[in-house]
Amino acid sequence: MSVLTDHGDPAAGAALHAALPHFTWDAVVDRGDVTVPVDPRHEVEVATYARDRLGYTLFIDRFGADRGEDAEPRFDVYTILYNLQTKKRLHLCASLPGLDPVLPTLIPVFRGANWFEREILDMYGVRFEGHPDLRRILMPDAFPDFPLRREYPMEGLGGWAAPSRAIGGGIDGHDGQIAVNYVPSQPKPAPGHGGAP
Amino acid sequence: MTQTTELVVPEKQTPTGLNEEGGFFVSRVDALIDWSRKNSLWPLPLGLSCCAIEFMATAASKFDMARFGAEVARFSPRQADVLIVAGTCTYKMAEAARRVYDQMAEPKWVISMGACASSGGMYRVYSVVQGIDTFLPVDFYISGCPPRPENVLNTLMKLQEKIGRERPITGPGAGVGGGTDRVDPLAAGSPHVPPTLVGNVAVKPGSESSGSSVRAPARPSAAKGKPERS
Amino acid sequence: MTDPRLLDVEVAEDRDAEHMLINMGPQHPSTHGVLRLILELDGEEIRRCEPVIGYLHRGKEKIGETLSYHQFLPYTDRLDYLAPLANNVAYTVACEKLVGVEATPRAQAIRVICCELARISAHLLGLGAYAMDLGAMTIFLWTFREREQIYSLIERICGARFTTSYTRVGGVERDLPADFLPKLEAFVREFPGRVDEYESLLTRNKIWVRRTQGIGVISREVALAYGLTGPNLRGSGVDYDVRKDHPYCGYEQYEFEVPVGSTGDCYDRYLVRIEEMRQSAHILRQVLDTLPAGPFINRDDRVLKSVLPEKTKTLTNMEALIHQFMVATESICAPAGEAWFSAENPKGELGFFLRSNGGPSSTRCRIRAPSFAALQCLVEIVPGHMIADIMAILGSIDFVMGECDR
Repeated sequence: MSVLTDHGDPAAGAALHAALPHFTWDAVVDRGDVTVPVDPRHEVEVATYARDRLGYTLFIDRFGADRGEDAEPRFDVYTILYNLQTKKRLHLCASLPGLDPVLPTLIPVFRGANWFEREILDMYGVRFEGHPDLRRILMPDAFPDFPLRREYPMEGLGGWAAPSRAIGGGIDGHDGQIAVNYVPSQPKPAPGHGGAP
Repeated sequence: MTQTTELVVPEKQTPTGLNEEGGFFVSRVDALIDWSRKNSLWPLPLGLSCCAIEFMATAASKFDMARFGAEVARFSPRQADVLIVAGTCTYKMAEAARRVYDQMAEPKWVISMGACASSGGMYRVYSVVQGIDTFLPVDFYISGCPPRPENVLNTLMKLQEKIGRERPITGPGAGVGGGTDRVDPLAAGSPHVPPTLVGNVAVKPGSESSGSSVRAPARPSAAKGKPERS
Repeated sequence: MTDPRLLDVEVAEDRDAEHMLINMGPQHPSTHGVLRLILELDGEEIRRCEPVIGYLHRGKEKIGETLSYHQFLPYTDRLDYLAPLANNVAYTVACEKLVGVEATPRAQAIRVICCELARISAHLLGLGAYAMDLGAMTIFLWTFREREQIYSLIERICGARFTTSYTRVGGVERDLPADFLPKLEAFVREFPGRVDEYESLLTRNKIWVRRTQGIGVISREVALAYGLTGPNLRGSGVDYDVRKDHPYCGYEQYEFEVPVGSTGDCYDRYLVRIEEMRQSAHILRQVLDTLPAGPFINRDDRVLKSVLPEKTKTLTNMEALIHQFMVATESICAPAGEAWFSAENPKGELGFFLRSNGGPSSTRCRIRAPSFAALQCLVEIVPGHMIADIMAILGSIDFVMGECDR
């Protein structure tokens, strides 16, 4: 039958740690998945090495996790990468303190990290340095809290202008959130340029 | 011996205005308006999530909403009669939903399809509006998660019956338009008190305080787990 | 990148002209759910496209941390709500990886049936809505005819047309009913003919080809950088299918091919999905021929405390009654640690990351949604196209907001 515990490559995890011993710790293997703990300040170098030298070219996921108010370090930011040749997966885990968690953005390595990092900000309050457009993505901009933090209750705390109070009825009576913080592109892009940052 | 019944001829009444009760022709026109409205309801499917799929199934060939004259799904609010809110409405979306409702021309009706639209459904969370009736006047609620297409058709038929009783010219809401017994919760001076928000969960006035009844059972001896970092 | 069709037209460059900002959605027939696109237009051509999501954010990851493993199962139905059974399977296998339980062979085969029926159902609706957006209304009605047949099959299995909540840790909730297999066999026999019907209307249709070929090209490099998976990635020429590379539920026993595109345009993705439907029918045929007998849920002694005992036993056996009570009220408890599992869902690779501290619910329930990654690449591939092409691109990406926003 199928085996669920051979998705990771411990040799690659060990190779990554051996190549960048000051930026990583020993790889952890749990249920077959290989997780390499990474120094948050050097995550970009580690990810670049994994992508270019170890062949982990497919960006699968980037998400945060909270260990609880009392834990230190409190937040983990996981990055999941996949190697299409060896067909193995690699997890990178950067741990951050509870107070003012900051991490450099991974966009220079994988462009797709953009929205994933916005979601981590939205849900946990982790900031990403160098992110071109860091703002909430799933919750409205006016939402004041970080819902996935462990102490935040599932039902929410209220305390922000929910539209049922904000809407005055009628199209012009609105003071709710209509426009996102959108900045139209300044100079008109030259023809031939896609317009993406 | 044959009984003769006296033929009582009602007094001839000339309909003089809309305020009067009567008039044979006016009441016929009333019925005609109701009949034409109810048999050509153009829905605006505000398909938010899974209920939208069941709405599509209702409109497709097996259940066929076209039999009721409601197959013309107009996605422009200016052209639609009945707003069918199908799916979970979040706070972010509520505003857009209200805007869509405001743009619809009278007469208009609202159907809240599914558990999520009617009451928040299984999502008692920080981001979901616990029932669209906090900001929209709803005519009918369809229960189900998602409601079966038969249920949707049943509600459509009930809505047709309700429209058939409306009597826009001689009825109590004369001159107002459709949906006269609905109260807009956001209208000024509305007797409907929108539920207060406790947390982000609406508590209907007069009911007990909201406590989450959906929780994982807590193990009494569970220590606050801090997973070890090896 | 300017649309080549516009190169024929002489247009005076007006450097002072402002671009027009248009808002598309969140209520719009062609956005397939509550997606909002902010478009910056230069005439008919799109200069910048920004998707705004979150209109269907229902806090599922928060709910996953609060409820127990089985209590969370109905929420997974509503992720990719076009293929609820596939989501159920993906989540349940992730739980099984975390708990350390394996499903029985029969349950795994039943799960393959569920996944492939879900795949066909999701592709049918994706194709139907896509074609309807581009004006071909007939396809929508035809695909819904097949979908109703699939709904009847699913209803026979678990009682609900969709929103199934059918799988459990260790297997499935109940066995297949006696009359199910002949019905499935009848469906599988007829289905390839139906796919031929759809193809006869679309594949060589001049309008369809002109509206989809060369549109929305996703290069291999863009696809890898943005984390595209599933038909979107395969349309761009990358041969990656979780069913082949990390088989689960016994997929390694079945022979099937994985269609891979070449140019990465909308037409390629359409062809990939059509062929995937055929291959799914092929897999179903093989499962029907090789369906093993046996229990539908794993009630091995080693895993008994994680699985509900047989109901009849609870009425006569004290230990079984206590087990039932414990599992139903206290829930299964997974050993501490983390597990990631991803399955090949119709939309792409649906991943679940579960972290446990030994308690009745997970402490982190991450849902990796393929549509989230797929929508992000719109920022790069839409500019340069015309407004009418957006519908073609959105339909070909085939995303679901329930999954994207969770």
